Amino acid sequence: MVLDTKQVEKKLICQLAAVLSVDSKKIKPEVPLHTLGVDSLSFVELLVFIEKEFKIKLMESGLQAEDFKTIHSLASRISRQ
Amino acid sequence: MKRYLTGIDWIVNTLDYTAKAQSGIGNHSQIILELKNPLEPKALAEALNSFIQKFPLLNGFPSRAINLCPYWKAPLVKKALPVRVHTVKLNVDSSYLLPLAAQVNAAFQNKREHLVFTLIETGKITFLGMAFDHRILDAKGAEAFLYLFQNYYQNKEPLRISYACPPHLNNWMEKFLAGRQINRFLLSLAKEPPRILPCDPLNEPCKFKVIHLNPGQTERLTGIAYERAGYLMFMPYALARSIQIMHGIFQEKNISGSTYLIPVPIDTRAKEEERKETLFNHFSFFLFKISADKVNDLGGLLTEIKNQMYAQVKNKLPEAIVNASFLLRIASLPLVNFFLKLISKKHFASFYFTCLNNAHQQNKFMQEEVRNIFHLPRTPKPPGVGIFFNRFDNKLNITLSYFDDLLNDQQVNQITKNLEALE
Repeated sequence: MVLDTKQVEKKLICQLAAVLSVDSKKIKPEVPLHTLGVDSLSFVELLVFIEKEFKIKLMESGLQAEDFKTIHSLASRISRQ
Repeated sequence: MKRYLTGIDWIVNTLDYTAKAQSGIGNHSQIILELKNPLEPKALAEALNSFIQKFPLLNGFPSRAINLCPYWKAPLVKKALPVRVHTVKLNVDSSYLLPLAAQVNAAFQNKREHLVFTLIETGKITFLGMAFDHRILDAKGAEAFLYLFQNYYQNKEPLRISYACPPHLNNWMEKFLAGRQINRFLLSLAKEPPRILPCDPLNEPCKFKVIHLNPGQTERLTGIAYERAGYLMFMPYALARSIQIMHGIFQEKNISGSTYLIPVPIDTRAKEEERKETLFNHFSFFLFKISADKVNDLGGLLTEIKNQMYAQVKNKLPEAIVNASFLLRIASLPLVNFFLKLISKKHFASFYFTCLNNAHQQNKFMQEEVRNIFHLPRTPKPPGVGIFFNRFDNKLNITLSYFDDLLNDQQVNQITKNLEALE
C-alpha cells in the first residue's frame, strides 16, 4: 500500500498535538521534533501510534535522525515503507 | 479546605511514613537555584511569605474522610506558618553542598511544615535551596512552584493553580483490571529477586555528588546519545550508562542476583496543565528489568531498554500503575508499607534513576539571574542510592545521591568519574 506523505503528515501532526497537548496548528512539518518539546517518552508514544495506525514498527530501526527528525521526514519514511 | 489524595500520592505518603519510621526524617528532596548575584535575606523571606499565604494546603497534613478516602487537610487558620529561611556565609573554597545536604537531611519542625529555604552566599556566587516534603511537591512541581513564585513576584498575577482532585470513587472495574495487570507484571518481575546493595535503614545522612556539564559538554553528550540510542533517546542512553556504572559497583561488592530492577518516574501532567497542577504528585513509572549478564554490551542494553519502554507504553503500563494505585488508598500507611514489602520481597529497586527534561525555564529569581537549577533528592532506603539527571538552559546536571553504608569514598569517586566521562 502506498501512502500519501501529506496525509501521513496530517495524521502524525494530530497525534503529536494530542501527545504534547498543543494546538496542531503550532506543529510545522519541517521543524525538528526536539525543538517542539518532544522527549523520549512522547516520541515512543508517537511510534506506538504509528504501529497501530500504519502497521509499521519503527522502534527497532535504529531511529537515525535523518529519518525521524521532523514530521516530514518521518512521514516520508512511513510512505516509503 | 481539603484535597483528595490520589493512589500515587498515597504511595508517596507511604514512602514518607517508612522513611520516618526508619530515621525520623521523611521523604524529602531539595531544589537548588544557582544565582549570579546575592539576594537580600529579609526581602527574600518577605516575598516568600507573601507568596506562600496563597497556598493554605502547604500547611496541611493527611487525614481520612468519612467516605474512607485519604485527603490532605488544610487547617483553618488565618495566617500560614512563616517560612524558615536559613542564611549561610561560606568561603569561596568551601563546598556549598554541605549546608544544602544538611538541610535536606533535617526533619521538618512539625507536621504543618513542608518547605524550608537555605540561602548560601560565597561572595562570588549564590545558591538558594528549597527543601521540600515529597508528599506536597514532586520534582517538576517544585520547579513549577518557583516559576509561579517568580511570576507572582514580577507581575502580582493571580495564581492559576488547580487544587481540585475528585475522590475517584468510581470506575472500579477499570481500577480492578489495572490492579490485575500490575499484579501480573510484578509477579513476572519477582521471579528472580533483583540485585540490591545491603543497607542499614538507620544509617544517616544521605550524601550527594553533583556534576554540572556546560552547554558544549551537554550538546556533545546529547549527540552521542542520539547517535548510539537513536534520535530523542537520551533517557534510555543515560539509563543504560548509569546501569553500566552501577554494575561495576555491584560486581565489585559481589552482590548476588542475576537482574537489576530500576523504576524510572515519568511525569503524567498534560503539557498545558504543568503550571496549574503544581502541588502533590503527578507521575507514574516505567519498570526496567535488566539481566546482569547483558549489561556490558551497550548496544544490546540499549535495545533491551528501548524495547521494554516501547512495550510498557503500548500496554499502557504507566496508566495502569496510576489506576491500580487507587486501590491501595483503603489501607492505612503501615498496611500499605507491609503490602509493598510483601509483593516486592523488600526488593523495590536496585537503584533509583530519573531524567527530568527542560521542565520550567526560569531565567530570573526575584531580580537576579538564574544560572542553573538542579536537585538533591534524599533517596529512600532501600535502595538508598540514585542517579538523577536534569537539564536547565541547555546544561545537564547529574546528581548522585547515596548513603555511607552503601558506597565507600573510592566507589563514590569511581561512579563520579564514570559519570563525568559520559561526555
